[in-house]
Amino acid sequence: MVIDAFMMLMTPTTLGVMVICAIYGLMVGAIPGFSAAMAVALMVPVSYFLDPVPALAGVMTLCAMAIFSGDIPGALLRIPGTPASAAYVDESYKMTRNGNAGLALGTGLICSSIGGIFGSIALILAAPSLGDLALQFSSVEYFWLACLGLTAAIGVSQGSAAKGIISLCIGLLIAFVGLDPVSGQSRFTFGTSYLSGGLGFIPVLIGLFAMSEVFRFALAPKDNERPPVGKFDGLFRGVFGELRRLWFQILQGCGIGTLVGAIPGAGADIASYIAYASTKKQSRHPERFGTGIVDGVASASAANNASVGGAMVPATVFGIPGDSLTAVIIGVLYMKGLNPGPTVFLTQGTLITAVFLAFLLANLLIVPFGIMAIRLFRHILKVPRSVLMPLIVATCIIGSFAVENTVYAIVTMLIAGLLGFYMEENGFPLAPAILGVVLAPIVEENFLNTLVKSNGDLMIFLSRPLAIGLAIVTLAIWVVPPLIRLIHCIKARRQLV
Amino acid sequence: MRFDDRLNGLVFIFLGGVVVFLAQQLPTLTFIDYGPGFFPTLIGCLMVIAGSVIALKPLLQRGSIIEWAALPNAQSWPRALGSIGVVVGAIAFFIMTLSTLGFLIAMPISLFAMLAFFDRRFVRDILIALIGSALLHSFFYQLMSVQLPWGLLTPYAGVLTW
Repeated sequence: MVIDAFMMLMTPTTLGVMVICAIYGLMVGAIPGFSAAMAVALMVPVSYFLDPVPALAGVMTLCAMAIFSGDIPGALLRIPGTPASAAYVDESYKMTRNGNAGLALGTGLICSSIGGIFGSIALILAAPSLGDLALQFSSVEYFWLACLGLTAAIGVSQGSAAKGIISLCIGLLIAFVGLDPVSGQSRFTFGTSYLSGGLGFIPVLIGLFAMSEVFRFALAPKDNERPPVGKFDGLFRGVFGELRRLWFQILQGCGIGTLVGAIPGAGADIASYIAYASTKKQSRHPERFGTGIVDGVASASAANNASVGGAMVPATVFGIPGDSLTAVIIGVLYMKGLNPGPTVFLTQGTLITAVFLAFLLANLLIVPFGIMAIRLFRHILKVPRSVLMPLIVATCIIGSFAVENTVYAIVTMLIAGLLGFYMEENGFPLAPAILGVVLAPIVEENFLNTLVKSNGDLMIFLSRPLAIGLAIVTLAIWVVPPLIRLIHCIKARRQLV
Repeated sequence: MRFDDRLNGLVFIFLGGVVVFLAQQLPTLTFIDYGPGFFPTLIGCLMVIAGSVIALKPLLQRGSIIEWAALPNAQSWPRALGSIGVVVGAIAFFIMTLSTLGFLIAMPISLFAMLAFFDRRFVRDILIALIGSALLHSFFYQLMSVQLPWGLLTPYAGVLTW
């Protein structure tokens, strides 16, 4: 199967798409403020018209490249290209200021590749085995698993939990528009035929991630003028010596990234924060962190790339996205007829293996393409945002129209863009919303189908050991943190009295 | 464009209420008490609760309202709304004129409007609008077979394709 999958990748079209996506991903990731999810969102309409293998191989390549290239503006401008690079942006920029930009970028590049390869291997090995286990899951377990995904999305989203809940509710409501999946009843369609089919996933996605960025630019165009780029030379100078010294921290970063990535709701940004903090904690010289040393950069850049592979495990096995990026990838998998779930390994094993191998190959390609991106970074940054943003609007418009062939899709994209802009400006995280859009049908279908089977008896949701376990974990995430806060509050008051 | 959290909270309390009201109008399934309105009702209630938490938090902290809405870097409201309005207006123009004018006319106009507003280098902007639209058309229409409307240019469709 692996050889067949590999042969599926080795076609001129697939390799060509991967190369184009690699260049595109490196460019978008290197532009400060643009996320990997946004890069994929803009790519989705194109992938709609491609065959499944080149489309998915391209998307996986794009993810790997965009996450790495976020390191480049981080080190040279102190602006993380993507949120995944935010954890160590100060460290790598200080290295640039100390004249060690080559070391910062070179280490980041090699560690990103190592992390990505580690994540891909974990994905290739873990996903099919977990798929066998998941075959024993019934609609009850899937319901709890989706609830766990939604819960974790709120739990790990930064900022206020109430705002995370609102964001999730918005995502769920977007998904509820259209025909009810069980009864076929119209919901929130207001008699419009366009809304009967539901709000298009791709226009919503493009609006939330790409258009919202355009509106932010429109609000303060002068804030987005080009800052001076830090100088660097001697890429890879001293890198291999540091890699030998930091092998354990890099390996640890890979492990943290893969595990954190697999937790629903936690993405590459959280993985790199945890890896950085963990390396600092274990260091003999924690006081030197933040002054421009390579230790934190190595482990955190390995972690953020490894997290993509980790996040793909629950995404492909259970259809539960780890973060907003994998939520987008799940959308592409559905679009290409590769419905995520344990049966995908039985029915389309070769195809899904080809997707995994494409991710592995993309992580190997990070090194040569990354060197090119670092060298070309100044030129990428020369494109003024005042030109780039209108062109992105044009791409958003045509991308939304292309998939549904109706101007209503552009209206959806525009409204989603305004909504995303409002949400981000007011501290409502976007990730729970997109997870809500993806998970809503899974939660609702499994809930109602289970109840139909049990004639409305709710106890069926606690009738199997696996389901009870998942229910306890899900409810604990809701109940335990407020309980701990309450206990702390009571203790503090008692001490005051 | 930040709004006071009391305002944000109120918006979601209202929205949650509307969702609950609309969901209550939906029928239940034949043999069980749950139906297409169950989850929307649940989500509406959750929205009202979370909206209340957002609205009440600043009140409990006894902070006074300095301003209901604030802009980054002390910008003026007309300028900020104007900038967003240009983007919305350009997209709205494209939506309304696409079938009549066709992609190859509607897109360059929309693109130029935005470029002229943000970039203000008119010759360059005209060239970017024309070349950008032509490239997008070639890619999506020619390579991806997306049926982009020709509008006024329908008689020349054969000449303008390759």
